[in-house]
Amino acid sequence: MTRFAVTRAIEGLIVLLVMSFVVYGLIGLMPGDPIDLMIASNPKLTSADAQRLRALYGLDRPILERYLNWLTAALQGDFGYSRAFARPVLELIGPRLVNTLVLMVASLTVALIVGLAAGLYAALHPRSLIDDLIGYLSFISISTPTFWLALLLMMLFSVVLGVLPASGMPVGADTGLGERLRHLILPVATLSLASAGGYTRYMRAAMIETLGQDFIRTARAKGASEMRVVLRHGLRNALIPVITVIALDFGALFSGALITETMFAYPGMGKAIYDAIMANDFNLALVTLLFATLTTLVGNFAADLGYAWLDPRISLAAGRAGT
Amino acid sequence: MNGAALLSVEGLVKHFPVQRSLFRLGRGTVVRAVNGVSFELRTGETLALVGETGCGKTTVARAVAMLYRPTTGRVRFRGQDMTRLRRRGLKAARRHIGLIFQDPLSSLNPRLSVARLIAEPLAIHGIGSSRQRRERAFELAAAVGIAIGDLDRHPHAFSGGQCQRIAIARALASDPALVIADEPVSSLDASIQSQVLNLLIDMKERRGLSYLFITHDIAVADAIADRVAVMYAGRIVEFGGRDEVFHHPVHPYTRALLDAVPQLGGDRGKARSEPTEPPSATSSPSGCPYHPRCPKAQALCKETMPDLTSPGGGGATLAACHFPD
Amino acid sequence: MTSLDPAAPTAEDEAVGATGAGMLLEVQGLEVTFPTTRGPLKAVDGVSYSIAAGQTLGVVGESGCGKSVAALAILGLLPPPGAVTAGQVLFAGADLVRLDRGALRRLRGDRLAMIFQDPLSALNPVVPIGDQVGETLVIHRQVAPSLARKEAAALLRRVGISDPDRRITEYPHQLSGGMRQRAVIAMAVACRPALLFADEPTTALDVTVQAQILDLLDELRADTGMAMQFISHNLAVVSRLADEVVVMYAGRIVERAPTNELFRHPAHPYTQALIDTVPVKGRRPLGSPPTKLASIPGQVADMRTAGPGCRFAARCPQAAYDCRAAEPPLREAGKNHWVACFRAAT
Repeated sequence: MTRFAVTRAIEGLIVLLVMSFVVYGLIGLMPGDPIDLMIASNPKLTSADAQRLRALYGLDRPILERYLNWLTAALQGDFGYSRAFARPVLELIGPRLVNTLVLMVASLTVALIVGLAAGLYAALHPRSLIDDLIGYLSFISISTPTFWLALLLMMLFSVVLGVLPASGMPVGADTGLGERLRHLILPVATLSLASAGGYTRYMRAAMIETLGQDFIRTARAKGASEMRVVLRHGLRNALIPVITVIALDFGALFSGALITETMFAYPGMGKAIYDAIMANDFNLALVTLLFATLTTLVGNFAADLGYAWLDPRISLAAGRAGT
Repeated sequence: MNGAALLSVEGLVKHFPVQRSLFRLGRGTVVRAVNGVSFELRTGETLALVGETGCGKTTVARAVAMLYRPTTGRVRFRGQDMTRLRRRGLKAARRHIGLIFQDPLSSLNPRLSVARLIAEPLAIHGIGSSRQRRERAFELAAAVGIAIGDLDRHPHAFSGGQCQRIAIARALASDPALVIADEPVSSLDASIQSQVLNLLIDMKERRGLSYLFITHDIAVADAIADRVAVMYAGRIVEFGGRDEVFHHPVHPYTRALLDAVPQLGGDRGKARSEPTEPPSATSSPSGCPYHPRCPKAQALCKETMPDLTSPGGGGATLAACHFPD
Repeated sequence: MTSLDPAAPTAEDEAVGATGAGMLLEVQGLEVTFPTTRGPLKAVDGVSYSIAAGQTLGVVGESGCGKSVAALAILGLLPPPGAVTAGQVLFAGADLVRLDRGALRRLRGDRLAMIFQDPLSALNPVVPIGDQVGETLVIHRQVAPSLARKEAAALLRRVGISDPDRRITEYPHQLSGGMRQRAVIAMAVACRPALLFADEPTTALDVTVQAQILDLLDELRADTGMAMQFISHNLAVVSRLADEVVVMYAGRIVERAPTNELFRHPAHPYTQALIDTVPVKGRRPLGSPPTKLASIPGQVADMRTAGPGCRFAARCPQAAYDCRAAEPPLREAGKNHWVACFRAAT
């Protein structure tokens, strides 16, 4: 198990390194560098000044050299300064990252509870009225665009009923927990409703498939109660494919979070990424995009661990490779 | 029966690497499916390759047809070394090899009509016009007992036995010299098994075919084979005429295998089974791979792998055993 | 359609020491129907037989003859939408067909056990072997799971698995095919059932392993005194274990006799043909080239469209007009020997 985790962690680091180069290269290829923006905003700058500034920032060097310099600094924990916000990148990102993670984890939890429970119920009562109802609801959830759902919830709860705030989550740490939670409800509802439908469908399909397996018949032949058959023999096997799908969905959850953040003016990574790219803020854009990659990687990593924990065949296969 | 060698396999080895993670951290293991197999198949004979799960018999069959490229070793077919052939040469040589697999339904493309399925090898090798191919399909269908009226239907409309008839017709379409049949009757019911075996025997007599017949079922091999090769852990352990191998086995494994076959009626409750199990293909024991299960094993067996030789010198049977019967 | 055979329990079967009152299982006129898009399919159509305590009954037939479905129906394990539509199954004084689900569930795994063809798929891939083997004890004997695991080790040792203390912590994929089937058998006999249904338990195994498993089953039966219904398509395998054999064709019993009697004097043309067509080692004479085997022409007719007569008539070399007009009832062809054929000598 440890070996499995270490192997996956090393693979993740390699992916991250490759991604950092790709992202760095892509930003470097974007037309116009920060100095061009400076010139555009400050007509007093001469081309000689521009040359000097480029040399100062090292922008006249070949891209590979610039990348290696950035990488060396980054490995020492220095991710540079955000030009647009005039603050160190890490300091800027810290609280926003926490906000985004809170949003994602809360939404994922709600979506999993709702989705898995609904899927399980539907699988145990196939073709019943409630199964049909769950089916319709999940298809609505799958096909509703996140931004539209956000608008709809805002209309209902903020404008018509006036019970929940539509936007303006305070950034400061001094805000009370209750106030923060009130601001979280609508974004979390949006994001979790958008993914719960998918989870429901996966769970239903996986459970029905599992209940058709031979070992379920064996459990029944042993005289196991229906409860025991479903929970002890069915659920764990059904979760194995569901976990994979959720992991693959993690990227979608992240991008969903970015859209939701924008809709509710929620101060998270989404807004930071948007601002950084619009302002051609090299350092900030790089780090935020790498965080996006990292989130997806961590999601997959967690899924792999969950997978290995659920399915003894996985971790052991990897363990044997080492001998 | 004493024809020239149609197929000769020399020192065939096939190892499959087991791939690991994306960046191959950690060393991969190797599945040693076939570990040096040599035999000759004469024109007009049926050679049965028998053995239990994982003994490498199917891998040998696939390597002969070059569906797998052997790791080392040579496969001579009609005088040509198949392992040296590339695309076009191989395609031309394959025209003379017909293939029949175990699961008749999954080996037939469900989207093609029976007529097109049967004529498929002809289309692949560009033999005849489409009209001629259809006529040939008619002929073959009649020969294997598929009604002409059924030729425009699709495989799912047929039973397992009928599908295997279609597969046989397809294997014979390009007039092959050699037919490789991999467990062709194993998935069929008893009453259908004998029908299909009879068809194979019939086709062989009428068309002068040679069969490489892969089976785990001793009784089936006993019914159809001229000569028999018994495989164990990727090697041939006994090789000889059907009468000799099945009635006077010299290798202890062959003997155990024959003893394990249940007989019809009369031997109720006869206990004689051995307690051990076949080895895994990833970790073979040293020396003779059969020694952990062998009642006659001695120190020599744990150290040295016996060669496939004629015990006592004179006989036609070959066995890979230090202490043959 | 149901042919309730009045003489079905061959009570006088002295060869196996059974008495009429002592029958462990009595199946009478069992009928199992699957609704299909092309009409109802009677997979089992009026089947009657009985098993005495400690006896092994072999049930032989080709795929689709209803041999497995009948066993699943008896245990209440029919896959939906299949259902028992007629008949009764008497076991220990109760009719299993009419028993409520809970009561039948309490019998399953305790007094009645079943093992299946493919041991790998029959075992839960994510539960350790020990937990699976001990589970029947947890369910029926209220044994604590930790204790059940210990008990499982003893059971594994009993079925010939070496190093059972290590094996109970392992998962099905870590065991070889033969060991898996041993584990499945250990699981089935944990509560010492009175009757074990074995559905093709060796079909997925190699021949040397098959011989071991057959020996094990016979040994367990002799030790515990349990009865066994052994279902197989393989006549030779059945003849190895069974005291008495039932031959099924297209949902019906066509012949039933003590094992040796059946193989020596098969009375039904289908049984005769089956015995003649099965490739048997040594049937082809020494020194002869491969020659054609006897074979049964045609294939099993669709039971939904079959006429009123004998279902084997279309493939039967002896069929006459009366065979197609009415279904032959099971009648006595010898001592304890029953056959459903007009042509059979009695």
